[in-house]
Amino acid sequence: MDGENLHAQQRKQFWRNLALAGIGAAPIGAGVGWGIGRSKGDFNAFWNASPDWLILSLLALAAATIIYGSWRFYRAIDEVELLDNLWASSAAYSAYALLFPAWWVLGKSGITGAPNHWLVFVVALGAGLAVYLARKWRAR
Amino acid sequence: LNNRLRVLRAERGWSQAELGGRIGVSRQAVNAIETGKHDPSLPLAFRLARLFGMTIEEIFDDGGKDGR
Repeated sequence: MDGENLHAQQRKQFWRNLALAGIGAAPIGAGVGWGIGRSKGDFNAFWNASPDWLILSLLALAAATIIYGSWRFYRAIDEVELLDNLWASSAAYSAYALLFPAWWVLGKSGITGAPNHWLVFVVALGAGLAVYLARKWRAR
Repeated sequence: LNNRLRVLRAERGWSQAELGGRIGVSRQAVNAIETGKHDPSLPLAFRLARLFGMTIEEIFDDGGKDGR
C-alpha cells in the first residue's frame, strides 16, 4: 500500500475513534436530557430526584468512555501530536496549580472572596486549549 | 536541526501525506520536521533513514553543535 493510502487510513482511524467516543457519550447525554425533560427543565431538581444508581451509572459510563477513548487516542497519534497534548496538559496543570492556591490565599486573607472552583476549572482547560491551538497554528 | 527531508521527498515526487503514511506520522508532523519546528525522536529518525536508504547524519545536520 502506498503512503497516501496509509495516510488516508490513519486519518480514517482518527475519525472512527472520534465517532466511537461520540457513541459512548450519546447515552450519557440522552439520559441526562431525558431526566431534565422529566423534571420540566429544572437541572437541580433532576439531580436531586434521580436515584443514586442512575447517577453512578452515568458517571461510570463517562469515566469508562474517557479512559478508553484516551487510551485509543494515545495509541493512534504520532509523536508531534503527543507533544502538543503534553504541552497543553502542562499548561492546564500549571494554570490550575498557580491560580487555585493564589486565589485561596487571597480569599483567606480577605482580599477576595473564596475561590470559585468552576472558574478555575474553566481557566485551566482554556489555558490547555490555547496552548494546543497555538502549537497547531505554528505547525500547520 | 537542519535537514534535507524536503529535497529527498521532492526527488521521489512524494507529497507530505505520502511520506507521512510511509513512516506512520501525520502530514502536519512531516511539515513540522521539514521546517525544523520539531526534532524527530531517534526511532522516527531511523525510520526516515531506512526509508531513504541513508544514514541519519546524511538527512539531519546539527551544524556541528555539541549541545553543551
